[in-house]
Amino acid sequence: MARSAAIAVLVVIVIAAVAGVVSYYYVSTAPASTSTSTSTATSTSTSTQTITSTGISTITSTSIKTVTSTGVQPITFGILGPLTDVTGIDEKEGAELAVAEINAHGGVLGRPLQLVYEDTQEADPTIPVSTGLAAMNRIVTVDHAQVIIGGERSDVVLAEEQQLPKYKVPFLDTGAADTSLGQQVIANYSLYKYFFMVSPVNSTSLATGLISYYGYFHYMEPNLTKVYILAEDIAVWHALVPVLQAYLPALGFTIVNPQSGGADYFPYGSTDFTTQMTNVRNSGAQVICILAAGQDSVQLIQTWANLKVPAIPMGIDVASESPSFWGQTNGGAEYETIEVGIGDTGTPINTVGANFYLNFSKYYNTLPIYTADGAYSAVYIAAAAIEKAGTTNGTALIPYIEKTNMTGPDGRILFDKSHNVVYNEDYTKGGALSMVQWTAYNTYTPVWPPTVAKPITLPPWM
Amino acid sequence: MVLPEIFVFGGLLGAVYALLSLGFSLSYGVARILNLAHGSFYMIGGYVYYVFLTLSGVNSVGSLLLAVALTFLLGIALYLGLVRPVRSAPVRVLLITLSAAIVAQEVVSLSFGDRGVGAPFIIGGISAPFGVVVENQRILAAGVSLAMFLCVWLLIRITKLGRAVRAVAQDAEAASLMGINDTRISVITLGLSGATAGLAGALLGPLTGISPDAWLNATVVAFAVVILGGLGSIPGTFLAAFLVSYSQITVAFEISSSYEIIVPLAVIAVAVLVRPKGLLGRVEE
Repeated sequence: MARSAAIAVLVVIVIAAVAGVVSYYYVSTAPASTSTSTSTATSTSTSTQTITSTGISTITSTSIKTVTSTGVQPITFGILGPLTDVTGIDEKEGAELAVAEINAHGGVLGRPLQLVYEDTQEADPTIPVSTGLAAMNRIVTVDHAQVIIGGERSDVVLAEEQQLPKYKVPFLDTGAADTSLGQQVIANYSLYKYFFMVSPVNSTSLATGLISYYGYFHYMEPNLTKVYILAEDIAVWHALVPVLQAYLPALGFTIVNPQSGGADYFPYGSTDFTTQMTNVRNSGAQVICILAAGQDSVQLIQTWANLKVPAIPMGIDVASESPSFWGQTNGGAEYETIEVGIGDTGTPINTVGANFYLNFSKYYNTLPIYTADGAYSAVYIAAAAIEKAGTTNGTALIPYIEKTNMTGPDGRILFDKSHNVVYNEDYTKGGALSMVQWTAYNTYTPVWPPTVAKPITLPPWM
Repeated sequence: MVLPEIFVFGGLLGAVYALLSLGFSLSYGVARILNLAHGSFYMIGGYVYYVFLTLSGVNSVGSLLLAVALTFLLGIALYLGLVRPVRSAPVRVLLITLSAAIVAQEVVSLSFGDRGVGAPFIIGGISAPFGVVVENQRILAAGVSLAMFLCVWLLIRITKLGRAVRAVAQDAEAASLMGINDTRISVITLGLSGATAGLAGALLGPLTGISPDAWLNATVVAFAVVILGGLGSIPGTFLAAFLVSYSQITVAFEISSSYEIIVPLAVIAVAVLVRPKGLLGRVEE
């Protein structure tokens, strides 16, 4: 028995050693920004970072205490999201960038901002909603966040929204897209007024932007009219597909799906797309309208590229918004065209967006995704509200957040009655979206809106 | 009905399923171990291939061989370290192998993140057998899987070691009395089980991507194949692998890919209810 126990211990040690070596090697070969963010995300709930002229350096809890010992109490913003996933990492980094900028200019009400973090793990679809709720409880009651910034998965954020009447803390959502989040605010304002969606990412905005782009694409490429709708089998796309089925024919497209519902839904988390790509090829489609929120699109796009399917994928693909997508697909992402916040494209629509994109790319050595500019904007929105209100009291801040009228990376930030940021193709009047095409490693080329568009490139096998 | 597509894709997938399930069948047939961590070897094989190929500069064939070697050693380690001490209690074996699978998932997840990774193909390009466009990597995966399956089957059928394996499978106590080292045979069987699943993961991983939770689907498929084919029956495993793959591909093409994952689960339920010993199995338990 003792021998067995010794062998078991030995096995565990060997496995741990192998895992340690592998993870060390992986981390040491990853971009600097990844290693920085991962180590911080997994280890900090009470530390924060700042950006200096020489780059990002971590402020330890000791230096936070130094700030406190001067008699100036920091204002605490909580980052609540999937901190080991790219969406959460970008939330964290976008917020850190804004906090560093604000602190460099004297903070808010003469007090520095500090960030605290709690990991909801919500990028993993198997993680229950309760994990997010526990993290939310910690960030308010243990970390004492006075504003919450984050959110990614709609079911998790919907549950978190239900807790807001209890905590009475403003929640600035940077990722969840479900329109019912805003409808709750309208239906029961006194309870849910604390919720705000700070980027133009709700499903209505996404659909409006996508349809507008398809209209523009039809004008530019009038011979490519056969569309195959390929979507994950999740609620948000089931809501969006009927809208596309109604509008695309009106724009001059023909939907060629052989499925009875006129769309091909695949399970969230699928890993093999040969069936779908064979169906696309057999249907004679020239365009694949892709709707994917999960990491499954890595295999989808790789299979599309490997099989040289003669239809260009254009749609919403969250995984593809990450710069690592190119590498994940071994370059298969080339020619894919996706919808993103215009602030993530590097298109200089305004000074704020240009500086944000430049600084984010410089300090983190990667390109921002939508949660980064959302969190960046959220920090500025909350900071401005606190400055005007003269307090950090959550309920007192709400009227000031509602009256936000500022320029962010995605355009003008205004809130409607549902506390969703106003979407407008004219980025001087609201938050705008853009369609970008992967054209090289780390390179998106904007192909819509027309004011910033370059011609779309079709794959050579089309 | 898209018959050529079903024929080609079902056949190619079935070959890999056969290799994936072979070790699961062997570990039960020989060592009487229902190894719920079997899919972990598939997942780890995919990751080992990815790590050595993309991060260490080892070429694809070398990475493939390393994936086989490491999963072989892990199979042995699993048996000696965790399974052997509780081998006499089947329920404890189930629990400890399930725990090992979950631990493996978490270790990989912490090392590489929750999101999957994709490794480059061993061979690029596409072909069109029977007019169906398919990646050459998929054809290679099926070919190597069939070759490996054949090698293992021949090993069991014609070598001295194979005779010992079969003897232990038929009656471990009698084999032990004949001088066959039961433990040694079980160690080799679990190593072989890990290596075949690891090879399947390394071959299919570049096509499907590999993620920390990939072990679950792999275990479910292997379980379905072996239950249908008959626990411990190598010919039954081969036959059932193709039945499951053709069923899945037919459902995906003719109904919806959303129902594809239901097929192996339905196979398990039907086989247990209607024919518990499977198509070619001798054991009914």
